[in-house]
Amino acid sequence: MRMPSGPRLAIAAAVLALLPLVLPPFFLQLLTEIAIIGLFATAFNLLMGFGGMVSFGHAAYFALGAYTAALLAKRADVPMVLALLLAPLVAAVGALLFGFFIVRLTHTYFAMLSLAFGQIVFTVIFKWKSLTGGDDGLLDVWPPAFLKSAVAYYYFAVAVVVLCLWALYAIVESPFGYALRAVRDNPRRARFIGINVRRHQLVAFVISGAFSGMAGGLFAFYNGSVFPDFAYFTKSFEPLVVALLGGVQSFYGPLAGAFGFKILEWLISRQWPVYWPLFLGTVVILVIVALPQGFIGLLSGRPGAAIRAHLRRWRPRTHAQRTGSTPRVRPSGAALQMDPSHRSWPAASDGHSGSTSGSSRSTIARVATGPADGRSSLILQALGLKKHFGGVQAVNGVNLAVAPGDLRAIIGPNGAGKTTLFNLLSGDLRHDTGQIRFMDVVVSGLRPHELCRRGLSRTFQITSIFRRLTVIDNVRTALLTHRRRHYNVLVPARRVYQDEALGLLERVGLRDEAGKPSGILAHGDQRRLELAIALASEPQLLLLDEPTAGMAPRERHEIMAMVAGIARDTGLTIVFTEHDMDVVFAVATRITVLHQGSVIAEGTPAEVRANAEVQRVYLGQPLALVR
Amino acid sequence: MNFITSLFPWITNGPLITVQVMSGLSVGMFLFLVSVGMSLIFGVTRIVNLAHGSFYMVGAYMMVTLVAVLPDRPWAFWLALLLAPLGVALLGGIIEVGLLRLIYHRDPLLQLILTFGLILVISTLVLLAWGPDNKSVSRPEALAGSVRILGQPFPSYYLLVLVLAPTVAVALWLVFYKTRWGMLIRAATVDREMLGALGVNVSSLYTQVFVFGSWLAGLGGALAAPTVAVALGMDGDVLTTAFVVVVIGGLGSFAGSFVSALLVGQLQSFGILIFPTISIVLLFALMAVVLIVRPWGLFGRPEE
Repeated sequence: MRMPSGPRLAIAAAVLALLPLVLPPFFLQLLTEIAIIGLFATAFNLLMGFGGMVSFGHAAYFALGAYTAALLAKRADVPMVLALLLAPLVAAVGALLFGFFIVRLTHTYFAMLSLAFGQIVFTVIFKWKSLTGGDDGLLDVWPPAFLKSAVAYYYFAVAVVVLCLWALYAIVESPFGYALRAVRDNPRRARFIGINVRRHQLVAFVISGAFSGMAGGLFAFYNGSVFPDFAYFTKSFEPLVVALLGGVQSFYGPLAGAFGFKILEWLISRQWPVYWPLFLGTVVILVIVALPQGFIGLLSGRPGAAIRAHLRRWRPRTHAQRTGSTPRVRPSGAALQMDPSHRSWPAASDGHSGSTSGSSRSTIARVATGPADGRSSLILQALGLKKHFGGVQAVNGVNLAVAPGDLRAIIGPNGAGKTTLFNLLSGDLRHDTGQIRFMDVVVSGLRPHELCRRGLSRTFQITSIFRRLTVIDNVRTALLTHRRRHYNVLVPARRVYQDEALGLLERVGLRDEAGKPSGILAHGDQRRLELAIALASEPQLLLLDEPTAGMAPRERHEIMAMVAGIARDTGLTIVFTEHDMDVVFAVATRITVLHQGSVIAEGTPAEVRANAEVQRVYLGQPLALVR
Repeated sequence: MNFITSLFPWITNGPLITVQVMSGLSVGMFLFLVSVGMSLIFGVTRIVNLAHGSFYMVGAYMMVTLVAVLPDRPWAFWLALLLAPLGVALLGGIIEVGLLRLIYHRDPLLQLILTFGLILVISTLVLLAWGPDNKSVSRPEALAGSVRILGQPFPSYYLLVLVLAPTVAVALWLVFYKTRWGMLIRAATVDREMLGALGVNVSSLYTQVFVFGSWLAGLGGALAAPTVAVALGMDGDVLTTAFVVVVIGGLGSFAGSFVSALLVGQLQSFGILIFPTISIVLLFALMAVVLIVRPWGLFGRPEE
């Protein structure tokens, strides 16, 4: 999905501009409608295709725009252009109001709540007869005289739609759009790279609602009248079906879908109006059963997208990068470089081995974490943490103190509470009692994205990456959000942080996989990628929940050696859990032993090895006998 | 009190309130029959079947045809009431085996859209088969009149609904909690994979449940046929209301459907008295509030 190159754009513009010379007015009207519905469906698809949110009530925002435009023009004599500017605004306010609640839910429930709000909008329009005309709608909503002809309105509407599409394209390809994709692929991981997921979804919802409202406003003047039906739930399915027909994975899919949809509707309704719903329904069913990627997918061979991307590998990008495209990052990155708390991860010069040797030590500006002003020198401190699930006391009064630079292992038998403890420390779960201090600040109750911004990063026991993004885009998105640029919609995301992302991939040995879709990587490589994502947040403290789970013994040692190398080079503090004792005793500087939710021992590997209680726990003798 | 009575003059009218409660109750019973099937299907197959209202409509139309075709005897109505839901069940079975089975592993939202496609197809087929004009079914002679309740007339046909629907509810409860099949269904609502791993033929269970849910929708439609104009728009009307009922009660919850159907029935019955213009808004507002506060519904259980 590349931006059409200059010539292609020029040809498209010329064709659109010249069409009125050859087409009769009727077809211009049809094209105008296609453009408007295409805009509606594209705005809808910002949520569905790129945000993973399926709204079943988007007709509400279309109708809000249409009624705003019609009411202003008819009742207040507002000029059309001003009415069209206010239409998306009102729709956006509606989307903000409803979206605030809708984004709290997910999947099916998200769809249902959006449908409920849509029906409320419909009913209000339907019943508020004095304002909206109720069932009779509002008639005679026409543009000013100079735009009244089919040709003039065609030019006007197409120009507005093209502008809106250009804006939507920029949004989709911007850092904001990348972060939105990340939220779509994996909301939990997205939180841990510092994205406020709900707020991000809400912003996308409002943007989508605003452009839907713009489509509604354009449609009101095109149609000359507005009706409550515009908000009815069956209307909400129109953008959905259109996007589905064209393909939701592609930015242009909904446009193509609108074209096919309207042409077919015209062809079939003209001959057999009764059969149109039958035809549409059958097509929808067939597309879902047989063509998951839509028609665009069929044309571009998308069913094999993963394979094609695999074959393409990183050919185009890495070359550009090799020949030196560094300066891109500079302008906006300048402020960051002055902040001493940020370490940078530049690409190791021309390294190809992906090893973690200390060769790049010079590039790493280690920040002294232990402050000299008499405060405690602990990076992470947990005091009396407790967490229960129903009757199970998973974590029962854990005290933990981690000094900067530690490579701390937390071990314990299955069910000891390791993962729960991790989830408490990383803000994924809220503890019942106790306190967590991170870099001398109480962080109890902070949410994951807030902790992430303060410098705490983590990986999960079950690999958690953004599976539909390429390997490099996984890391790039994490870099973007860490630098707080994920609300930026003004630059194309793929141009930023190329070198830094490759540098991180280099560190974990994935540089050669940069262009692949991350979902097709081998398990071990996905775990490496997750590590790179976590490192992209430039953490002070990294929590690794069984980083080697599911790996072969040899690979385990490799990964842990790499982790230890990174920690040594950068002074990063690491807390990890691990089942493989060989690995633990090989790399950990200190070990904490959990048993039944409590800490039973802590010390250097040698001390822990010699601890009688630990031996008893691991040998399986009941703890009661010991005491 | 004076203020209230001046605002709602009917509030001291005991008989009117009684009849209003009764009619709310019968509306609720219709809603229960339709929504419990929808809820059941969701509970087991995880598909929100938007075509459920279409099944209801087909049930009503089949009733129209059967009553017209069968000989003009007193038992004809009852035979039709037996056959029409069975016809709908057959339709449901064909759809499940022919279509839904292909997409159980896919994104739930695609399943939702597919059932929306079914709405379009079924409504056109109904239009082609029965034509655009409204139909009606006359009530059986024994129930054609009305009875007096506290001096207020109440259609006696609704008494049938008030008897039949609770009977179905009790029967369903017995099936769910006292039979092996019911146990399998309840197990499937909790963990389908586990059930499959235990050697249960889950795929066949899905078909059975879908057929059963369709039968319930058909029964609701067939029962409703004599009380309404049988028309093309009835699929959407029923769908939206049943949808609200199911969501409020909790998707997949048997008790939830029952309680919420009664609640919504009363809400509709009294909503028309209190806020004649915005009673529908009330319904969707209630659903929105429930979704915000307890997305899994009053009686459902949270996902995950």
